[in-house]
Amino acid sequence: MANTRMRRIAPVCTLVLSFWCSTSHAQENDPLFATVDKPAIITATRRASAAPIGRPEVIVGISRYHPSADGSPVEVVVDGRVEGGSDREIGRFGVTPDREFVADDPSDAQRFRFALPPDFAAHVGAGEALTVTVRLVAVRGSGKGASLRVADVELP
Amino acid sequence: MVISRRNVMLQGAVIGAGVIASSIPGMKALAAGQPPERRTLEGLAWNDPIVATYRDAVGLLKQKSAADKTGWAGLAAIHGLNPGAYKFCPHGNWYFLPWHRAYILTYERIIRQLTNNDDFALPYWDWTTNPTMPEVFLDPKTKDGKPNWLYVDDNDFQQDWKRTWPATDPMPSRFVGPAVLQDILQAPDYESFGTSRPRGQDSLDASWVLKRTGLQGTLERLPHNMVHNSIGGWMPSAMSPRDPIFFMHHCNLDRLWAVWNSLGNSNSDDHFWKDMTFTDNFVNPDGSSYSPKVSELASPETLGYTYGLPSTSIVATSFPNLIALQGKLVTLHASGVPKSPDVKTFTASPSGLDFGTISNPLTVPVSVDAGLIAAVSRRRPVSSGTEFLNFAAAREQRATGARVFAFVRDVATTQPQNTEFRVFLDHPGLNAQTPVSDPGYVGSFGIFVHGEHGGHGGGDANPSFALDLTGAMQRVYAGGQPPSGKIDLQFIPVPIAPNDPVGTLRPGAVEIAFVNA
Repeated sequence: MANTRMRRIAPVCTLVLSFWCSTSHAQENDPLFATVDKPAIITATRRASAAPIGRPEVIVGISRYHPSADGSPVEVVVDGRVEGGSDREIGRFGVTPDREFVADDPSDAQRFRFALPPDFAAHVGAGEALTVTVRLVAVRGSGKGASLRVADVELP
Repeated sequence: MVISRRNVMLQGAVIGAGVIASSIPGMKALAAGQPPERRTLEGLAWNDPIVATYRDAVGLLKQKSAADKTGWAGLAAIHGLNPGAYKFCPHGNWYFLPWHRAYILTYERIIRQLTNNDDFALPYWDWTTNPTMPEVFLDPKTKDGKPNWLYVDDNDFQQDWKRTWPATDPMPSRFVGPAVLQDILQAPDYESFGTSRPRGQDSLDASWVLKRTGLQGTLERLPHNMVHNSIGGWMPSAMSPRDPIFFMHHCNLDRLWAVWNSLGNSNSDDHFWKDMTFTDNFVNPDGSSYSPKVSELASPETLGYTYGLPSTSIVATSFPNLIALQGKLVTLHASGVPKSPDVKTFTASPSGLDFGTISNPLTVPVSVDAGLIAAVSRRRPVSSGTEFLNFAAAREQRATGARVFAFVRDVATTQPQNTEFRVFLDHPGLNAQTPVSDPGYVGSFGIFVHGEHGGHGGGDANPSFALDLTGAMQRVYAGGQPPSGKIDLQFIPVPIAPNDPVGTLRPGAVEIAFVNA
């Protein structure tokens, strides 16, 4: 009887495992997906039709967030880089509550606003691309298991 | 409900203040012109009336039934349905600040009624100036052996809830430090300061209050979110109000909103912000609904409390205490004792010929007047952000009252080029691992080594240092232990780089100067 049950469960387990593996593999290759070991990297360009820059800023939207496995806190660090330059921090944020968050509709993403450093703003205003790196960093502990997915990066 | 004289007075005061609410205690002081002041936790001892009232009230609220909507669990349920889901409270949109103002006000009013203390106002945790967790929340028992209701060790929702942030570690300055505060207070408009409207809002429907699609500025995304998440236990969850420190954290955020307004910044004038009503979100002390409109929550004073923020219009020449303190310090620095009844000095020298080392810190006991220590530990601290309102007034406030300084003279050292010399006050277990975030940490000094000199045996005169002991003395004695007539000033050398050889030190003399301005 146990064998019969095992025979029934095995294909289901295989299916779940293969789905998990393919999902995990897809996430690893998803440039918008970040963990403590892998940042999300997005390149954004300001629309040519956008209004003149008032207070230069960048907005980062998050469509998915998962806390660390052991509940230890993580922070999110946003770096920027313009062509020919190196990565520099633009700002940081946390997601509260520190619980699973999923926005199936991109318009429901949680959004975080950062002032752009003046030299970045000059490049962006001239129509150059800004490469944004979103990193998950452990505040305490390892931060393992924490992940997020960037919905979009806007240069209003 | 029994109609008492107090209730009649309160109703009158409330109506006079233009607030639509009922049975609101604590408005007596407002009727007299001065609402109760919310104060920083800094310097408040475990048995200070503010702390004691809050602790007692939390105990009373926790002992109410979970079904009682004015009990601890019932009030927290206003905020969250369970640890993973909010109920009424907005985050990530422009109702974040006014909603939480009304929410903590709900508790403040209930506590006033519960403790029959109309002068009570919630204290706040000013994490910029005091980034370690307030001591009064950390021990399971109070110093007189009673249960400390501000401590968290709960079991609910099939799990244990305990804070995980280490008691002696400061909140990182990248979350709460002065640079973050400056960034927050420089926000040019309300939606940059207090998070923007939810994306696409086109009505006053209550569902917009829960949309988390506004743009989170520095205030919400950094100190708000990261202090919640870092503390652990209930705090990173939607049931965060189950931790009593929630209210001290949010009180400070509320204070920063008041500071930002006092800087001349206006709240949003948008119809969708100011005319939103939080219908039936909150409760009055009698259990009836409290449903404020956002526009009714703009001013703390009309709600029955104040942060006592300094006026931005004080004339910059009227600072007699600062001028007096500066005059006294000039004389003290010159190694003389001012002939003033407002200055008392006490001197001691290290006994023997021992130098302080990394494994054996040097302690210099100094006999002082216990009454002077008590006066310093009682002085009113200056909260972060007030310097933005009026820098000169904040300096004047810092200079006012009893202060204490240490003049460490003729310091002989070895290996000064590799060594940081740390100074602590009354630390019973001082060692090289004692962090600079420890309440007893006074400050550090280094010695610039030039040429071949430096250290005892060098040709130059040994250097001297002045350290402000006021903050450390307030923190050390905020625990409420009665000061004795002796303080220990302690010196420990630590290496600047991990593998550097570490030096030693020995001061020739230590002067402790109590200055009253």
